[in-house]
Amino acid sequence: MKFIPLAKAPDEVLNLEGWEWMLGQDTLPYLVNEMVVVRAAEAEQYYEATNSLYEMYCEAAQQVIDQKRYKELGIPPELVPMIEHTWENENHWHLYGRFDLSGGLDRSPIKLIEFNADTATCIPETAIIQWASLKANGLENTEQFNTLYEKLVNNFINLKSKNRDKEPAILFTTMAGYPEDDANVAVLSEAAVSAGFEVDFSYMEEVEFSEEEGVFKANADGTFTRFDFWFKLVPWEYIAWDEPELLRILTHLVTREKTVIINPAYTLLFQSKAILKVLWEMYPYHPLLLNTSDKPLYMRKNVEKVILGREGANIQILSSDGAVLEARGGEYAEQRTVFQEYTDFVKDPSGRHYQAGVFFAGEACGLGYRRGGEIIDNTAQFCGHLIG
Amino acid sequence: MTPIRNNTFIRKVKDITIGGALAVTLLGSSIGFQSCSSPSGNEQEEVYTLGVRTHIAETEKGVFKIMDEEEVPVDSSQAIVTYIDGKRDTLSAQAVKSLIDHEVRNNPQQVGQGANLSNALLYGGMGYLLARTMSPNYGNIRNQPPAGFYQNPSAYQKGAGVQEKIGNSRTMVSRPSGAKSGYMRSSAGRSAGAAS
Repeated sequence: MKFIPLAKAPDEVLNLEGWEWMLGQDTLPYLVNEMVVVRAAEAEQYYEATNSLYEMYCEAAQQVIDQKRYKELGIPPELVPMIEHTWENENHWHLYGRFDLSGGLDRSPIKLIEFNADTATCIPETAIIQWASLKANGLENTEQFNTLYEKLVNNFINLKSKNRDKEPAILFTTMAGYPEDDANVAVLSEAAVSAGFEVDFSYMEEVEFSEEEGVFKANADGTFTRFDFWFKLVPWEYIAWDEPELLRILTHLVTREKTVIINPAYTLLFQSKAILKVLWEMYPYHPLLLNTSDKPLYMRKNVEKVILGREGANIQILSSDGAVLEARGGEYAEQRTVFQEYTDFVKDPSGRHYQAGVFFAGEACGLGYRRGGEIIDNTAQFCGHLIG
Repeated sequence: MTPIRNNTFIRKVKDITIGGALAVTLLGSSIGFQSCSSPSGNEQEEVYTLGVRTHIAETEKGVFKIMDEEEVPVDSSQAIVTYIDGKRDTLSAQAVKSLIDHEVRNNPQQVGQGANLSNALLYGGMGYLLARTMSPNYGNIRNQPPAGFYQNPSAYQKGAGVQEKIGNSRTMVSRPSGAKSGYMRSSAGRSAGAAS
């Protein structure tokens, strides 16, 4: 691996540029003051791999729907009508997601780890911070695999043109208490404005849901404003597990085309790690895939993952004889798991592991790295890149 | 679903576009939605406070064009139709809906084709308002460029402005019917929570 050090560290850039609000305080220390040097040919491979994987995911999701394999994917049955409606109707456009990949550098092959299709984060870091870092360090003429912001704008334009019967106004929502999520939504919201949407923001618990009338923001003056588009950085499965009444209301609104919810419900099919098994069945030994099964893989080091876990929670690495080599706890322990063949992440000389995150918004459009231990979890750092 | 590829995914830093207004703090600030001062006197389901009065004229035998549109309180929405013989009709939103529905049912091939009265109603401010209130399916039926149903570009421009104002009047003073909030409160403590 090759790196270039940054004379001006990313958090310094943020302070200088007045963008510290974007990241939230708990996020700042995790920005790294050096960048991975990626060759143009390697970037090209990430791009091609990500586009291919998206097509494969669409095929796999189609099969899951055709064969009604929802249970196997851990999909709450109450979500199925909305999943099927949004899959069938193109106006429920997938705004964006992030593929986590191993390999890609130092001639190690790219392998799919998983696809964060519903509530992916790292948008400010990928779209803005790594770009601003180069800019602030006088590297205006260097290149980056980074058209994320532009592609988000394009996808919002797409979403608008596919929903001409709806008012182009989006209410953005996160769960209170996660400034990092707010920062992600702030960038999305800016992209939506560039695409000609009106935007506003409400924390989850403040949003007003009316089964008959739609999704509303409760304004400070006691009035209520309706939004025909609702972006929620709240996982679909949380809504299904914790708020069955809300899920019923949302199903009513979405299937009657009163409201478009982003990302659409079908992205939970992509998000479920059990789809990795479906992919392996459909594309056995595909070079981008790792063997994945619902049983431990025979005589092989493998990684056991809960099917709807997020951010590295409830993951354990098992040796070929089934011994636990490394484990992360979490609150998803009661779920079913899949076993994915172990793959090495790219390592730097200090032994730190690098996982590539490639965003997809209509096409592959932005690369960044998370660096950490053998399990990349929510303690991992963010490391930008440049093409060199 | 098929990715649109244009192979320009690598960019020079100076050519990467980022929203110009990113420095503007979006969250927590009051991004103004103009709430209309004249709340509707109607029932709860009236989400819009503004509506439209649309003036349509029969300019030659059987040819109807939108001459002018103006915004009015939503419960005063109407279409005023002047026929070539000088007679006038005033149609309520409900009457407009009935007329359009009748055409859609009986002459589907005429919908969006030609300058008949039903099309002038459907493609003007009335159709816009109905699509957003009583007849969500009009959103899909209205699939032609609307400018041709207006008498001239300035009438169209004015009509588009009225539609924008209607769109911005989605604010209501009373609680939406059956609305509830406070969801996911108990879930807020999930560690490593919402995002991934």
